[in-house]
Amino acid sequence: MNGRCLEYREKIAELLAGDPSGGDADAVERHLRECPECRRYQEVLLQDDEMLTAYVRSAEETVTRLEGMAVEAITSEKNANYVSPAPTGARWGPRVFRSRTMKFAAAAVVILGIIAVANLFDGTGGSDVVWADVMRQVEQAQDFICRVQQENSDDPDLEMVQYRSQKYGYRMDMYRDGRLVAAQYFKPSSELLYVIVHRDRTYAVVELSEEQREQMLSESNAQSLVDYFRSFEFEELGRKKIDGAVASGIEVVDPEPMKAVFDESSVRLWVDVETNWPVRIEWEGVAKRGRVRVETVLDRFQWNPSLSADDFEFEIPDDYQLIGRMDAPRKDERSAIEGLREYAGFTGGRYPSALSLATALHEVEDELGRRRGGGRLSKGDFGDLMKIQNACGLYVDLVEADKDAAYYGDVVGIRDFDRVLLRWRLDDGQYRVIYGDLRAETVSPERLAELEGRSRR
Amino acid sequence: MSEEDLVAASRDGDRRAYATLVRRHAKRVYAVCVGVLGSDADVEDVFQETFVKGMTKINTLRDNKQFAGWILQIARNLCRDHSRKRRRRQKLLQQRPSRHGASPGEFSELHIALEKLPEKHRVPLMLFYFDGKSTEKLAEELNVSKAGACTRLFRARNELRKLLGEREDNR
Repeated sequence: MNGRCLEYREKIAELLAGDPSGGDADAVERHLRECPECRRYQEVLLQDDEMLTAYVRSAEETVTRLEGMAVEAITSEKNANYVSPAPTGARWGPRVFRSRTMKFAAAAVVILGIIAVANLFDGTGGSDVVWADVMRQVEQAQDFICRVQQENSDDPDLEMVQYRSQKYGYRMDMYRDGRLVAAQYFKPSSELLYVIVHRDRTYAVVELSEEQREQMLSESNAQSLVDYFRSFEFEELGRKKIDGAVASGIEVVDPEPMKAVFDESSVRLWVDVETNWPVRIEWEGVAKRGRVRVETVLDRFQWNPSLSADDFEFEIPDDYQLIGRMDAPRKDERSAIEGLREYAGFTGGRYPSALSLATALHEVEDELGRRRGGGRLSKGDFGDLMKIQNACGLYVDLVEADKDAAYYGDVVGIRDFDRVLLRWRLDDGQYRVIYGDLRAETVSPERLAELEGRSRR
Repeated sequence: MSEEDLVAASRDGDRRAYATLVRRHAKRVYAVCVGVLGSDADVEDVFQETFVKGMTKINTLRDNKQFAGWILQIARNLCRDHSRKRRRRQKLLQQRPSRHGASPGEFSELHIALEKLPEKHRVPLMLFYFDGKSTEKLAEELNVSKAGACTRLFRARNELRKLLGEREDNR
């Protein structure tokens, strides 16, 4: 083998790849006649090529099977919401309640976010129902109690009881083996939501913005539930027996509610056909492209149980330790960047693959577990980590406002200084761009197209 | 129907159009999955996940002409997510990766060699063989020049040969 053999071998490989380049092919031929080692190299290469070709052919059956499964999944009715921008089905009233619904969803961000964070701390046929009558009845309810269960949570033994009163606020008790282990409280006079973990003798505080406070108040009222179901198109689910009573159900088919928390969600409401009172609400949230799925069921409803102020009183014993304070989310560019920066700091430079709180929290969970040996968040970590909700909130607002927002956290990290992480259209038609390294600038649509071409590479 | 028309129709919610895109790109997506993950059971999951994600995110694709590169990038990222999880899982369970795809018996030596081949060599090799053995296509998929694609293929072949040779020598 002489000094030029390596060069010729590269050309031999090119020829094998069906890429003969002019005179090179003749030169290679001449060299092969003279060099037995390169002839041997060519023979081995041909054998490997045949083996690889046969290997790929043998895998074709697998590819065809997978292809068929993917096509079936995509074309099945079950996944219609993924791509259909216009869901079909019955419509209950005009969509004028959209903004209130978003308030409901935003309030849920806080509550569900806290539930998610609490889990981190834990380590662990035809309808004969007149839906308008149901809604009117629920609308007039002053308060209600229900059981809340998370069907496939990390902690299946956790049972929650929720108390909601228009006058006195919101409370959620969490039980394990019949023992109260944690509780959440919100009072109409306050701007704070408290999460008390009795088991650990700790508590966390969530500061609500004025807007969020109003949302919480709205949510403490059964009116929000009515608005929620009025705001979206729904489909009839037929009848089934729930706790011995015949119930009739509907499913909200809008794929976007609560998208600041989950990527997709759907809600089913079941109503006792005799009393017209809701007996079961099933909520399903999906994040991380289906890999994180939370199913929450509200049942055992008590409507108008005459709750009093005492039912919402709480005290935090002196020896309970404050483990975290979550500031109200600020949905401006600067705060969003701060949240993304803090998040990337936790994950070694990665951003959430989708800007939803559930995705962000689940993706950071592994990092935290590894760093701390499966331990708990420190007070500082908690606050810093939750700043990601600023970015989630901003993104949802931009999508809602139809600002042509796009987010590429699944393919862009903090080292991608020249790739677009988040962008949205400004009122003057220009685009605001936040790059992977979190610089921000305003660019023309043409420049954005150029940048995004790069982002996808 | 052109690729661009199919992407445009998919954006409008035409699932049959998107299914056609799936069929057109299935082999190269599979090649990336095998290239990054090797013979791992996660290949099937990631393959499915790639196309479902592509469908849900198609409105973020700005240039309809770039679907091919875009869907492969989704596959690469999902593969890397799975790789990270797999490493953690293996560490926890002290397990070897499971086999997948073509019968290990038939290509056992090749399987083992491919398993050991670094991702930077395995991906070009798999893309080349699964996608019609074209250096032009490989160059597009890797976003490099044709000469660059040939060089990568050359290195990958040589590395694979070394690994196969080691196996033969050890017998």
